[in-house]
Amino acid sequence: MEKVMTINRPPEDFAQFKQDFDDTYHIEVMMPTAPTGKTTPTQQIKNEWDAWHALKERLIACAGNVQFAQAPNGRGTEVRVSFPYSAPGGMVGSMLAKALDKSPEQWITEDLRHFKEMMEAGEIATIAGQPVGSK
Amino acid sequence: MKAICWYGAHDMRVENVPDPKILNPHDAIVKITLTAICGSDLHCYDGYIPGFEKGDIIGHEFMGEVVEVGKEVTKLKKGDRVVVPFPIACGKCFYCQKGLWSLCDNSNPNAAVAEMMYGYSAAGLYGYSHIYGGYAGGQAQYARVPFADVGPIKIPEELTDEQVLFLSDIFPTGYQAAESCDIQKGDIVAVWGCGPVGQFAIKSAYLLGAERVIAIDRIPERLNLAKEKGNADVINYEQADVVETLRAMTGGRGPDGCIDGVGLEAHGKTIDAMFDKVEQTLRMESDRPTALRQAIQACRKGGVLSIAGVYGGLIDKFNLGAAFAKGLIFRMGQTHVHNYLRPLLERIQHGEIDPSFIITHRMGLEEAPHGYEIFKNKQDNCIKVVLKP
Ligand SMILES: NC(=O)c1ccc[n+]([C@@H]2O[C@H](COP(=O)([O-])OP(=O)(O)OC[C@H]3O[C@@H](n4cnc5c(N)ncnc54)[C@H](O)[C@@H]3O)[C@@H](O)[C@H]2O)c1
Ligand SMILES: [Zn+2]
Ligand SMILES: [Zn+2]
Repeated sequence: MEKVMTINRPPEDFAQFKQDFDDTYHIEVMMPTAPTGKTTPTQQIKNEWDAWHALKERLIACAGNVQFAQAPNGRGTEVRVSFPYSAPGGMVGSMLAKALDKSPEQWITEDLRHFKEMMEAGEIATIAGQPVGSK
Repeated sequence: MKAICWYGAHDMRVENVPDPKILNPHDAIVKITLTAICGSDLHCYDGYIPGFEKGDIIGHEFMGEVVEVGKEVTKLKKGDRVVVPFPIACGKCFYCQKGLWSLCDNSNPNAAVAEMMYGYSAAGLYGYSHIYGGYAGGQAQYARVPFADVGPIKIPEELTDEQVLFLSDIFPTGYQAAESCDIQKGDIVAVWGCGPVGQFAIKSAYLLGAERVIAIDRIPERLNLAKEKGNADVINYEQADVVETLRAMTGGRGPDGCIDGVGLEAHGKTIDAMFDKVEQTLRMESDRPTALRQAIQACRKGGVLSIAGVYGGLIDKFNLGAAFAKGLIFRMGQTHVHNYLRPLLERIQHGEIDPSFIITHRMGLEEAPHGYEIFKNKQDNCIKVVLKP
């Protein structure tokens, strides 16, 4: 499976993340675990590195990969994540995700979107904690 | 604080809810001094906008005083008096930087749901269903305003709240609808719907150089306002064949630009309109495009169809063939309000327009449920309700 989003920042802004991924991958890919089946609460993602770590950890957990490519004519960077359709930890992983009502694909998409929001807008859109009338 | 909350079709309630808090570093909290009910809120009121949840605070036309700012807000400070544009936009993404603010990539916390429905997600909006992010709206005493350095515009002291409130939505919406018609010397523009959006589209078409504006509705006081304040020629669609009348009024050419200021709850007694009513009731189609079909039929060859009225889902028996045969240009969408704040504020300052001319009713938040009722049913000559929290 593949998910791709274009982030409105030049490729050089991603070099450190690519390096970090390669470093971690070499250490951890030998022992993949199941995707954790939860997203890092947006309040805990305070900066670009937090958002990156959440995405990276999920990818590592399911033996996924990430590539950065320059989008045409200065339109930013295409961040493409790929992961095996049935994530390692296979059954467990996808059962866990199912129980939580989201597929591994949806978790990864959410992490990728949070990374994009953090890189572009400097925060992650949320309504958690806003007022609402009695239910 | 007090807020107007959605509980279901025709069920808006005044509730006591907690005050909003800063949730993100670019947020501000605004103490609302004036807010309004919009035709878009009526679609929610009537239950045609999916994705509302019981207790959601509604409203997206509001202004007030900044009472608190998040730690990364630099341009606004406590005490500033601002009008807030209804789309929430980050200012940094591809769309924001192209001036397509209502299509911002980064302001919808429920983007995944919108992507399922529409392929891609548009910007988050205040008080307008969870498909557009589920943000608490502005028919309340306070509101949380994300990306506070990007959206809100500061208002000079000498202008009253009523003169500037509509910069939040309907003035820019009417203006963008007219601007989309790409008005040339000699152009005649037809406007379907003489609600607040239609009234501003009429004014704006003249500001942008239209030769003549023709307005279409059936409600006498709205047609009157279009004539008296908007200087439009008017057609009552219940008393005339709109397409033939427009043909006659345009020397047989048809209007150069056609603006749909009606949207998905168009009213009508023609056969297609009655089919739509049945299908919408049975949920076989979600939107009733009576005015839109007529505009397509009436538009001159190669003309522009500018759709300001809101559509949400599927429509049936759409005369795309007529549009194709005549080579029409379609423009539509939620307004990129941010583009118009400064230029339209200047027009107000220079006295070219005083947007308060459409206000017919002023009330407190407690009376909002009544406000919805009379605005919806066009009672008591209601054209626009403003609420003072
Ligand atoms: N694009 C945007 O960003 C944006 C912003 C604000 C409002 N809107 C939309 O604009 C539309 C109008 O808003 P409003 O506040 O003026 O609402 P409104 O309900 O007051 O006005 C709609 C008018 O259309 C008239 N009408 C109904 N059927 C008609 C027909 N078949 N032909 C001609 N006129 C007909 C009604 O009598 C009414 O006067 C709504 O759909 C609203 O959601 C869009
Ligand atoms: Zn509106
Ligand atoms: Zn944006």
